[in-house]
Amino acid sequence: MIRRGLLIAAFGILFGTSAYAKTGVVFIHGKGGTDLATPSVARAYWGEDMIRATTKGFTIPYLICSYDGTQYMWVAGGTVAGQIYNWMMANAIDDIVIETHSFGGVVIRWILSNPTYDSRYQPIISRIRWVNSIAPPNKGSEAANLAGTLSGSWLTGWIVSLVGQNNDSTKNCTTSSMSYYNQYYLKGTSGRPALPKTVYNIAGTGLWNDFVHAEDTGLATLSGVAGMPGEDDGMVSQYSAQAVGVVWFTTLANHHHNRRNDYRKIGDSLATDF
Amino acid sequence: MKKTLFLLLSLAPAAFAADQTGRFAAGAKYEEPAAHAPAHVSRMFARSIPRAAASAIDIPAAGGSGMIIWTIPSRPASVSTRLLTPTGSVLQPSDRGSYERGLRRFRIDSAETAELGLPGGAHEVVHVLDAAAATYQLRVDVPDAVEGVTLVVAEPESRITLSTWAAPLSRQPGEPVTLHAELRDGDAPLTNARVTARLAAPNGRKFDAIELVETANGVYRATFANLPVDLAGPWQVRFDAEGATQDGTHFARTGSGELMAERAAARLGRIATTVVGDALRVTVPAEITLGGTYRYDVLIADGSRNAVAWGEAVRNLTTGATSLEIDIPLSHLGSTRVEDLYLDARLLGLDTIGVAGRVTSH
Repeated sequence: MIRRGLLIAAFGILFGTSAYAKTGVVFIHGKGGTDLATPSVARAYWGEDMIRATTKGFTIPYLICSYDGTQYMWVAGGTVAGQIYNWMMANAIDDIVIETHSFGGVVIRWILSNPTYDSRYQPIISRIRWVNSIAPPNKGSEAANLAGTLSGSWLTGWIVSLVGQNNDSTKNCTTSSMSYYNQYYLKGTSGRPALPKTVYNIAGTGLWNDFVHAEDTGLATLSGVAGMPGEDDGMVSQYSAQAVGVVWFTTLANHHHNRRNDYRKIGDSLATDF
Repeated sequence: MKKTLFLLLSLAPAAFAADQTGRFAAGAKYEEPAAHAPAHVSRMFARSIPRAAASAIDIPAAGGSGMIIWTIPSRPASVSTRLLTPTGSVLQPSDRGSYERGLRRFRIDSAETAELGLPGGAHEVVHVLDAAAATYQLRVDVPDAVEGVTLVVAEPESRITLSTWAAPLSRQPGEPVTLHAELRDGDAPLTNARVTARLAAPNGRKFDAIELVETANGVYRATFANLPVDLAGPWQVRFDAEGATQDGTHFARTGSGELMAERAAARLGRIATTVVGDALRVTVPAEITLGGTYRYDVLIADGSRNAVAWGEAVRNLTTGATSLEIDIPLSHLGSTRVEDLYLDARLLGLDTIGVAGRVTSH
């Protein structure tokens, strides 16, 4: 935390004036349905107050990425890179702070790890100051494993679409798949080359945030059923979130709330970057 | 200065495809790719129940834990459940239960949990706060239009665990496949259980159950030469185990595993190194059978397996024989002598994600 504070101070001294850099913030959501490719759905994913808080009342230029939440990281990465590239070029943004939630943290790792995969990746990477990654399944999610387990309930085959629909983004997030991708394609875990930019992770460690919301029941059920070791936020275990980068802080907000600025004011924390 | 650098990068597209090299941080250790993913550890079982059989479902509980009973309809619909405990108490469908009674009922409304990817319909969840080692019975009312339900029963604090994996995690054509399961009651192995596994291909096709054989106390395995069909991509495995503990308590567990079936895309030869000017040239002969765009990765460690340097190069390769080459600056190698280096070279698909080949210098 102290080290990060010093970095922020140093960055402010070097590049704090608009004469040197035009800062912007990019939000990359997690997995979900195909409708997350719709900008309004992606915006609702974060909630208006999270965007307002992070951008200090919408005074920091920002981009809400929107991509089909059922796809593999390299497919999502292409969509996200296209949106970031066009936005930063159109607005002359040359200092980007990336905010990710859940699978969004894996998508940005794909981009950071594979700079030559797409000609737009390197110009984007060069402009990234750092990444704040909320609840990223860096070593996979036991909840995603559950999708494969249940999809094997082949009494008739009608159950294939359970939990995360066992689609490509869910397959991407199993602990086995992430073990594979971490070994060969992604950087930043132990034994692998370092990522070109620093990732600050924020792990969720709480489940029961709000008895009014049904999501909390669902997350608590998933946590109990999926067999997540240690602390978790109902979808991603702490060990997995913290497997890459520098621990910024942990939050009691669960996976539903830690992308919003409600149960814990995470957006307020993100805003301290600016 | 930073702004100038940005402009230079944005004006130099040729640099994007340039080979990349780097050094590892001091103290970093080289890590061999794991033969299999970390074991999935399960304290739950899953069953699909057709509507006709849903009126009385026996649920074995191992005890010593809470128990979550999650009932998921096969299609958007509302189901209701009635739980009969071994002591004779009943949680009626309309009863939400209480902490004091040790039984609680929740409903997960999928309209509010779309982000979790849960399918339509209202899911019923019954929580038994402290389950006894005995058989519970669940009676599910399933509407006529619904084929059945999937029942997921977990005992999150249970001592009885099923740990599973499939190997090799990255399987090249021709390599044997191993399915591994381990049953334990705390530290004690659970023997004489029945453990089966089913494979699901990348296209979703599923195959008949395979019986695993107990090869050591509590360790069950099946090894076979080939996958049921020659299909590249992620193969998922579901494991099911049933048995009894030493004291006769019945249990059931369901686990999972996964491996990546690689395409027969290339064959790599022996690594060779030469010093060319101020760089170490790492060369690997390759026979390419599937042309396309690949990334040639090299990881370099010293004799004690301290990670030293890395390089990666994108190459468009056509079918036939070729030579993969990348130059690693000698300055990246520090004081390590070239003859003491350990090299790990990989060819990774970029058009189709997957490992085409891997060789090491030892």
